[in-house]
Formats: sequence, structure tokens, C-alpha cells
Amino acid sequence: MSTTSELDRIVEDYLRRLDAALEELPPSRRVQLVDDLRAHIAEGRSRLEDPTESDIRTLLDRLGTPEEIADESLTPATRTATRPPRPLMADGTIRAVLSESSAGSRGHIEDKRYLATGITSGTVAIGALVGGSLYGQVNGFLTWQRSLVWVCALIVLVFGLLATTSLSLASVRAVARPVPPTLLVKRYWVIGIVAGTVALGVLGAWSLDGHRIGSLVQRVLWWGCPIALLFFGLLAAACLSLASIRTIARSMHVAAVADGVTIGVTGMAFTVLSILFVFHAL
Amino acid sequence: MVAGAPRNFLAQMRRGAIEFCVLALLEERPRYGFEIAKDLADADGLVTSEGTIYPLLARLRQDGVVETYWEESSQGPPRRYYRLTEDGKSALGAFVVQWRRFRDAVDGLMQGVKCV
Repeated sequence: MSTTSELDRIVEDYLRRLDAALEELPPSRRVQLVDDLRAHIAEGRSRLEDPTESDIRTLLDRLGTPEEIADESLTPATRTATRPPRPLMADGTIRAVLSESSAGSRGHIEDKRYLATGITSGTVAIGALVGGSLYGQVNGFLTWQRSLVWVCALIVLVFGLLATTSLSLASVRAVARPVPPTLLVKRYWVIGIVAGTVALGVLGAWSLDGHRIGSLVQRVLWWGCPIALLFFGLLAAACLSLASIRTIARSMHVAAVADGVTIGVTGMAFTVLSILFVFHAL
Repeated sequence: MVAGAPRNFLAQMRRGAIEFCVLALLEERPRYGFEIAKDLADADGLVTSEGTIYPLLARLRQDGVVETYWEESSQGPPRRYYRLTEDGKSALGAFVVQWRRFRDAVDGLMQGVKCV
């Protein structure tokens, strides 16, 4: 009689071989396929009462060899241009219908829109932030200049939030899985921690009193700090929010709420960051 | 004509038709991967290696003919369900029209053939 750990080992060995066979696929597709197959095996196992080693091996045999699955997965990349002739599609009509639907894969177009909106809004927000900081630091003693700073602050908040929401949506949709694979979550953790460290370093450099720094190069570097801090701070906030929320979502098998909470938390982090910046500038 | 031709033809035909069989299953109701693989395997062995259904599903999703959503399961982790999109319905409809014409044409020609 096989123990559960022995059965797990057989399954893991199969999935490892599958992962290796899918080496040529883009990482996101590879991870998704392995996850799909893992879910399939788990589903099959849950339907077996007290599964034995031969049950598990039969289950894996029915799935096919990792090489067969890899062949089927790798075909489309090369097949897009030279798909083998299909007897049922001699006049090409069905293929044309599929091509049309492929060209109109609205999901990808929407992703690009979110990304474009995010980048544009982010650029406007950073521009307004720099403008606001400059006026706040240098010329902030006149009423109209102070008003201008507040307008800039408003622009930073509105466009910053739009940027954060759009970029979060774009990244979440690109991942396209509410319960993400462990690998992606790990990546978010790593990026978040690295970006956070850089942001803290930049913050340290920025805390130097810029007005005492004499040379032009030093002044330019000092003004570059808020931009770098904003960028790395945002990246850290977004990645760490994604990583922590998705870790919780994964462990709880919560699917639907993860995206909403991610966007909300990232937006709030950005708002706090923007307010801190604006107050610092004023 | 070689001896293995019918088998090759069937394999090719199966390969060409399989994605539409998936669309047909999804037209009935949304299903999750395990269900689709089982239904196809049960339908006269349309799929011999159940695992190969997942690359196909990924392709269909990439083509925009199916979309996915997650649903909680009482038996374990959430399941990824697949359902037809409007593009998928159109593709399936177009295939069915052509399939019927093809089937009728072949049936018409084969009617008088006596199997050995």
C-alpha cells in the first residue's frame, strides 16, 4: 500500500517532467499549463476512494506523456503561420472566422489600453508632482503660486490614482488568474522588496538638504530623487500589495475579491505617497 | 491509396474537429477542464491523452472564442470554468453549417458502398 507522500512524489515527478518539457513556452503559459494539469490530477484524485499507486499511474497515463502535452502546446506558435491542412476547412471559411475572432481578441486590446492609460496618467502625475514641488520649494510665497501648487497636487492625485488603477488592472489582467501560481507571487515579493529598498535609499539621499549642495550636477541629482522615489515607491507598493494579497487569496482559495482589494490597496498607497510628497513640497 | 490512409484521415479529422467539439460542449453549459477532458474521452475517444486538452483550451482562450472564470468548489480548490464568447458562438455556428454540408456530401457518396 502506497503512502500519500509516495503518491505525491509520483505526481510531482510527472509535473516536474512536464515543466521541463514545456521549456520553450513563455513562462506565464508554462506556469498556467502546469497549474491546469495539477488541478486536473487533484480533481481526478479526489474522485478516487483511497487511491493506490496504480490508480495514480493510470490517471497520469490518461493525461498523456509530458512530451505529448508539450507537442500540443508548442504547435500553435509554429502553427499560426503554417497550420497543417485541415480536411474540414478546405475552403478556409472556418479558419477565417477563427482568425477574425483572434484579431478581435478584445482582452489583449483592453490590456494595452489600460497599460497606455496608466503610463500616460503616470507621466502627467509625475510632471505635475515635479512642477508642484518646484513651485512649492522655490516660489511658494505668492498666493497665485501657492494656488498653482494646490492645482498640481490635485492633478497628481487624480492622474496618479488613474495611473495606479489602470496599471494595476493591466497587470492583473495580464496575469489573468485570480488565484495565481506560486512562482508569480514570489516574483512580486522579490520585485517589491528590491524596489522598496531602492526607494528607501533614494529617500535617504533626498533627505540631504539640497539647497546647501552647490554644483549643478548635485542639484539635478537632488531633484531627480522625488521622481525616483515616486517610481520605486509605487512599484514597491504595487508589488508588495499584489504579493501579500495574492498570497492570502491563494492560501484561502479566495478568487474574486483578490483583484478588487489589490487595486484598492495600491490606490490607497499611492494616495498616501502623493499626499506626503505634496506636503513635503509645500 | 495506402492501407493506413483511413486512420491518418481520421486522426487529421479528429484534430481539425476537436476544437469545435469543445465549443459544442461549452455551448450546452460552462464546464471546467476535467469535465471537458472526460466528456471528450467518453465520446468515442475523441481525446486519447486528456492532458492535451489544456493547451487546446489555452489556444481557444487566446483566440477569444472562449473565456474563463473561477468558481468555488465544495470538493476542493476553485475550478476554472470555460464558457463560449459571442465570437465562439459565431465560429461554432459557421462550423456546424459547413460540417453538415460536408457530412451530407460524404454520406451521399458513400451510400452505395458495401463494407467488406
